[in-house]
Order: sequence, then structure tokens, then C-alpha cells
Amino acid sequence: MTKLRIAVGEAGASCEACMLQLLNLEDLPAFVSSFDILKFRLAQADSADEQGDSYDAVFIEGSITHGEGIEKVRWFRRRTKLLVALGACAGWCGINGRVPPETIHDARTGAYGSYIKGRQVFEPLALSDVVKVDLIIPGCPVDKGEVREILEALRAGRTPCIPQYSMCTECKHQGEPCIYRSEGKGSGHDLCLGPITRAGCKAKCPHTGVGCFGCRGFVDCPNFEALFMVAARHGVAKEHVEEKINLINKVPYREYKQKKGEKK
Amino acid sequence: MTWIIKWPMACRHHGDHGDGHTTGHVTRSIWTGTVDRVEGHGKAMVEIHDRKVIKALWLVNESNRFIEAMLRGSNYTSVAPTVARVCGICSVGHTLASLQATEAAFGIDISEQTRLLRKLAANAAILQSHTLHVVALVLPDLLGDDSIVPFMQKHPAEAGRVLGLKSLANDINLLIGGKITHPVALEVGGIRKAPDRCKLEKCRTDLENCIDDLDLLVGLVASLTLNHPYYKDGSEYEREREFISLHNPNEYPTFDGVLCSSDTGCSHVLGHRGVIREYMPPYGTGLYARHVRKSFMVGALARINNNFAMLSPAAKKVAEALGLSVPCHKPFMNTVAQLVECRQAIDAMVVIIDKLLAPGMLYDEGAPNVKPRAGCGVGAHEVPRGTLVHEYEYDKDGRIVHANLKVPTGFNHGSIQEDFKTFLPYLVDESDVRIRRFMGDTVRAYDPCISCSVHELDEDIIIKR
Repeated sequence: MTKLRIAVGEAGASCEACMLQLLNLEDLPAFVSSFDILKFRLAQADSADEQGDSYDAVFIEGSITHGEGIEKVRWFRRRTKLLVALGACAGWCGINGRVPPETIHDARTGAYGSYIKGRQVFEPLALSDVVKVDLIIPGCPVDKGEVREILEALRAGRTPCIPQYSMCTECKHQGEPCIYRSEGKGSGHDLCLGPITRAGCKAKCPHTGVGCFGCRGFVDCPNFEALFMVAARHGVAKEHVEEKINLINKVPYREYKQKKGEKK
Repeated sequence: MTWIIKWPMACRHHGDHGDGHTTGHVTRSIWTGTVDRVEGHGKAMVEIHDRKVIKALWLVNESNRFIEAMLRGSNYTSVAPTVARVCGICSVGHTLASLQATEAAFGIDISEQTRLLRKLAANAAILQSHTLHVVALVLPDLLGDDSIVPFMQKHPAEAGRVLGLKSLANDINLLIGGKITHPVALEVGGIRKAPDRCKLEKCRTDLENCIDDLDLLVGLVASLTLNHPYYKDGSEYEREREFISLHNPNEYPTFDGVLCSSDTGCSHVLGHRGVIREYMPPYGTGLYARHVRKSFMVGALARINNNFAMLSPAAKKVAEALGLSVPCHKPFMNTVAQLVECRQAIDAMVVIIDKLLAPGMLYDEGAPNVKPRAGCGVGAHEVPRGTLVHEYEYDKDGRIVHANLKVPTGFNHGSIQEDFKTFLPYLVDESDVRIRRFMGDTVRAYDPCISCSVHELDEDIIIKR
């Protein structure tokens, strides 16, 4: 059987934690031998491109923050059958979405030195803003267990499954006590975004007694109003909930609010 | 079992002469591409004219993430989760330095249990990052491969064992931080829920068992480095330099300590204001730093040079086995120093876990009691790559007015460049390939983590298109 040809790259702004999760796989030797890994700058010297001109799957992490990033992502898109956004930054800008627009403006006008001045700088973009993305592996960073599942699925030729229900479902399945019912509620961190967040992380944060940060992005059709109500019942103001949402999901939340505004 | 030893490019006297090797009165300008097997993006260049190095640069063209700008106006609860995402590999270190700075600003004392758990997390982070660097990033150079893959294919059992060290460190961080990367359970004021006793006991057993695996790695690295031109006794790749790290008279430093320079001794001013000056060079967008000389070095080698006496006895033995004695001014020995620190971290973690398993420990602290106030705070922390400093200014509501993050990779940029200038003259007769490789090896020895500030893209791809 021919091995799948894969590449792992980055689009620009990222912390490389998602790529690191690939190296964190416990069965790394087995994983490596079952794929043909053609590009993975974090782990190997770049191979010449003659052979690497086409891929079966490319995993890209990070948001695009300048013109070179757009070129690079398009370059990969042309050469791969599947393009996978690895993590929140590539999927929906993640934490990079928090950059204040005035900072981008300052950068453009040269406040950060001449190097940046001569370069196209814009607000961070997700991969899907530039090219067609076949799959988003959610998470900040991605869960290595889920990455392994997806790699297995790719190898077996089946469609990988990303949960479509909220984190609360998973949390209850695991028998974790609800954060909203635990002690010390309302003091910032134990505000839990579980009700609007996509499941699949095995409720890691509630397990340690900390409310969900929403790092896996929104579930399909999130009900924000209901979340605000639950939080209010526990003495947390809407602005605090929004601040926590904006930590990793600022861009999709902004889009949601814009859509809502249009409907009205 | 025999290790197949193959020098990556032989020693400099019989280097390969491919790819544009030139002699005579010609100016050679040699660029590396984006240096691979490092986190983040940087390039190096050297210009040789008439067998003289006239210019040698380490260029860090960080692109823009503006983490400090994101922090402005943030509530204190969002600060640690934001800075954790500066770097995937040092997320624990950034989190801990951030918490320390915030707690200093608010005047919060943490419990002994929290202090121990944080130290455990810090040591696990050191073990994780160092094994990643030694095994996946440097070992391929020593074995003459392009990546860790051939090693894993030839020696799967051994590769599994040495990578197991990393997995164990990840497990410990998962237990304490709630996540392997970007910890969530480490919060301002304390830790809500104590880790499970049984799991902690298991970690202790695993730590004791992993010593054999570390010894395997130490033996392998020793067999490859003891006669290697970069590492051996009397190596020409040595430059006298200043080392800066934290120093603590009672233990090997993690986050309790004062700043110590090998030139000027200890300083109680943790905030680097006035002690270390950061400056922007005319090339690149990364900040460089200086103290009393043009450059200084931070990281594992700096820590060991400044704190050798505080190493555990077993760690000192590892140092001996690997031929590391202080003071050591060979930058390539940083990788060796990391292995010594791995043993130090394992020993320290066992002691910390014993303290945590004592009666009266491992209780749930509940939601931390934090009362924000206006003020400034500094956190200094020894992360795998060196001393990390976070300085915050808060307003009375606990929102950031100003944040300043000083990252160890930035401190080392100047030192890398000085090394180029000192060592490259030995290589002027070598081929471009060999010089390029040497520059990559030098950069990798420092284990830089340029993603701390961000990325440049490799233009080669775009040019080739």
C-alpha cells in the first residue's frame, strides 16, 4: 500500500503548539512510519520540492497576517487533495483575532520600525478566508488524541468525525460536577463556556475545576442568549462572559453579532 | 546494540566541496534558508571576502502578533491564558512568569502547596522542552540525518524510550495544568483543585523508572559528542562570554531567585529595567539585548555555569559523563547542559512530589481570593531557554495598563551573532554547504524559540513557485 504523502506547515502567526502536539503523540515512531512526511519544518530539514510537489493532505496551523502567508497557503492548496486547518488560529483566527485594529494601523504606518512598514500587514485571516479548507481540527491547541483519530481516518479513507454537540454533553458523560454549581462561582474564571463550545476535549478544564475557555470554538448554532442568562443567574455580568468568549473566539463572535444586527 | 555513528559533514578538514565552493579573491555571500528544526523563523548570512569574514548576521524577522497590544485592557484573569499562547513549547513558563508578575502587582501570597505544584510544573516543562530539543532537533545532526525519522526507523525501541521522557513530562503537566500545553488550572492566587493523589504517586514511580531511559540518552549523546569537534575538550569553538540566569542559594533556580551575571554577580532588581537593555538592530524586527558586554547568553548552559553547586549529585555525575565542567564557554555544550538539567529536573520533581504527598498537603484550595489593585509587578522565571521576564502595570480594576514581555530567545540573538563572528573565520575555506550547516548548527545549539515573537515565512517557496 502506498503511504499517504503529508505536509505540516504554518501560515504565519501561531505559537507552534498545534504542530507540537503531533510530536507529542506517544506512538510517534509508528505514526511516522505509516505516513510519508514530506514537510515538517519543526522536526526535519526541508526536503527538496521536486518530489514534494503534491500531497494527499496538508496540515496548516496559524493565522495569516501578511501577503506572504496568502501566497504560501495558496501554494499548498494547489498541491494538495486535502487541506486541514490545524487548531483555532488557522480555523477562525483564535487568539490572533484579539489584535486591536489600531495596532495594525500603527504597524502599517511604521510605529514598529521600517521592516514591518514595507510589508503588507493586515488583520489576521483564517485559512478559509483565502482558500477552501476541507477540515478544521478545533482546539487551542489541538487535542493530540483527536489528531491521531483524524490521521487514522485519513489512512483508512473514512470521513473523520468532529463532535457537533456542546461540551456540556461530554462533561456530563464524564461525570464532572457542573462548574456553575461548584463553589466560588462568579469569580471570573469559573465562568464556563461549555454550553456554546464544541465538544471533543474530554472536558479537560472542568475536570480541573476551571470553567471552559471555549478553545474548541462554537458548537453549530450556539445559543449565546441562554448562556448569558445562566451566567447572570450566577451573578456574572454579560460583559465578563463576552470577555471570556473574546479570548479565543473574538472573530466568530464578532461575525455572529454582525449577523444578528443585520436580522434586526 | 551498536549505534551507527556517522559524522554529519565530517570535520572541517575534509568537508564536502559541493555547491558553489569558491576560492580566491571573490566575495562570497552565503545565506541559510529559514533554519529548520528550530521553533519559529530566522535566517543567517555571512559575507566572506578574501578569506576574511566581513559580515555575519543572524536575522530574526519576526512578523506581527502584537501580544503586548492584545494584553492592554485585559482583565487579570485573561492575562495568563493569553501569554501562554505566546509559545506552545514554553506555555507553562510564560503562564508561571505571568502569574508571578500579577501576584506581585496585587500583593498576593500563594500557598506552599501552590508553590510546590508550580515548581513541579516548571520542572516538567524543562524536561519536556529539553528532551524535545535534544532528541528531535539536535540528535539528527549528531547522527547525520535530516530528521528524527531515520533514528526512529532504525532503533524504534530506543526512540520510544527516549521519547517516553517527553511523554512523562507531558503527563505531569496534564495532571497539574489540566492541559499538556496552555495550562488552565494554574491561576492567579492558587490552584483550585489539588491533583489526584494516586496519579501523583504514579508520576513519582514513573519518574524513578525513567532514569534508565535518560541514562540511555546520555550514553548515546556522550558517544556522539565526546570526540566531536564542536563539543570535545579543547574545541576551538569556544568564546569567553557573560552568562545571566537566576540564582538561588538554596536550590537550583526555577522562579525563586535573584538575577545573577557571571560578570557582575547578583542583582536584586528583578525588573530588567536598567540592568538589561533591549535594543532594536537596524536589521530584522526582533529585539536584541545587552548587559555589560555586547551580548550575553541565557539558557541551560548559563544556569549551570551560575548554579553548578546546586545541582543534584546525580546531575553532577551526568555532567561528568558528558564532559561538562564549569565554567564552560562552548555554546554547543548548551545541548549537553540540557541533558544535565533533565536529570536535575527529575530529581527535583521526586523531592517535590514527596513533599506534596506528605500529610496536610493535596487539599482543594477552591476559588482563589484575588483583590485587584493598581500597581506594577515583575515575574522572572527560568524557562527552558533562559530567563523570562514579565512586567505588568495594572489599574485599580485589575486591567492591564502596560505589559512588557522579555523573552530569553531575544537575549540570545546577540550571542549567536557574536559566535558567528568568532567561529566563521575558521571555516572560510569550506564549501557553502558546510558553512550553511555550521550556521544552522550554531543556531540550534541555543535552542531558540523565535515563535515567541512570531514568524517570517520562507520566501523560497514563493520564489520557486
